[in-house]
Amino acid sequence: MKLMHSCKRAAELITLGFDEPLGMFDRILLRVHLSMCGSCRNVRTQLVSLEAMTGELFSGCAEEDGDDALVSPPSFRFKDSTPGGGSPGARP
Amino acid sequence: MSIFRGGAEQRLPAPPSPQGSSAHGDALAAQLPSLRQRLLRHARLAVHDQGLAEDLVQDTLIAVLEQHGGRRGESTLLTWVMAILRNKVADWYRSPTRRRMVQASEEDDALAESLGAAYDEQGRLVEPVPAWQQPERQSEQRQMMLALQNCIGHLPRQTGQVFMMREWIGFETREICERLGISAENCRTIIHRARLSLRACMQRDWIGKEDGK
Repeated sequence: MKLMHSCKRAAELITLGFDEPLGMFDRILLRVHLSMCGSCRNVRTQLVSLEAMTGELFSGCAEEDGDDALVSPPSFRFKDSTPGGGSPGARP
Repeated sequence: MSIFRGGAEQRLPAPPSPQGSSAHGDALAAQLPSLRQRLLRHARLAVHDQGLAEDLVQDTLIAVLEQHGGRRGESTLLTWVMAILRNKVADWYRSPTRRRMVQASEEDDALAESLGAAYDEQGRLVEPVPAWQQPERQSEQRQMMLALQNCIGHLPRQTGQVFMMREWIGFETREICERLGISAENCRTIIHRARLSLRACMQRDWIGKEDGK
């Protein structure tokens, strides 16, 4: 096993972390990768944001024509926004 | 028996109501055609099969008419109706007589290939990924939500189906692979592709357009 995760593996772990807890080793390696890779931090922020939006889209009135309830600003905020964006994500 | 024969858009009779609240029932009847459209869009996303989606929506609307009288007003009508549809779809996936299996289509394979092209042989991103400007105004947030909805609608069949099972119905990965007869690893890969694909789609269709203004 390589000591560093690739961007591809990092992305896999980020989305896997939405559904199940990651092993300790993977969590640490993901954290290290994200601390060094700005692109993957951006990918993570975007995936987390889209996951939250998807949840909102499916939680209730999720249709286009004329529902003011479509977007509710307070819950639009990222579920796990971490100031600075440098900290790793993918929590269980 | 179909209460929708002769065109779905026709006005349906008010449902029987224990309270005899005919005004309530009339209001529901007036909303049925638009509800049906919304349900159909959602059901199509979930099962990727027009005929099946129509059957599930019809079952849902029958349940809506039957149960409407006893409904307590703790959620909006749409939320309540969507929950009924969700249960119908979940029941369908859980039904032992279900024979349909989702096969990976050419589009599913093409998606895997195009997502893979973002990385080099060592798995590094070929091009840097810029941060997204998060929308401040509500109208922009709404646009972003619509763009996402559109991107979900464009997921290939198997990818979209698995994504909806996970994100809408709320099945665990274990249950999805069980229901679809695919391996857990394959299932995780498909869900991962769906999410990466939505990111790429939003980058292209939403961020790309915003930047182009």
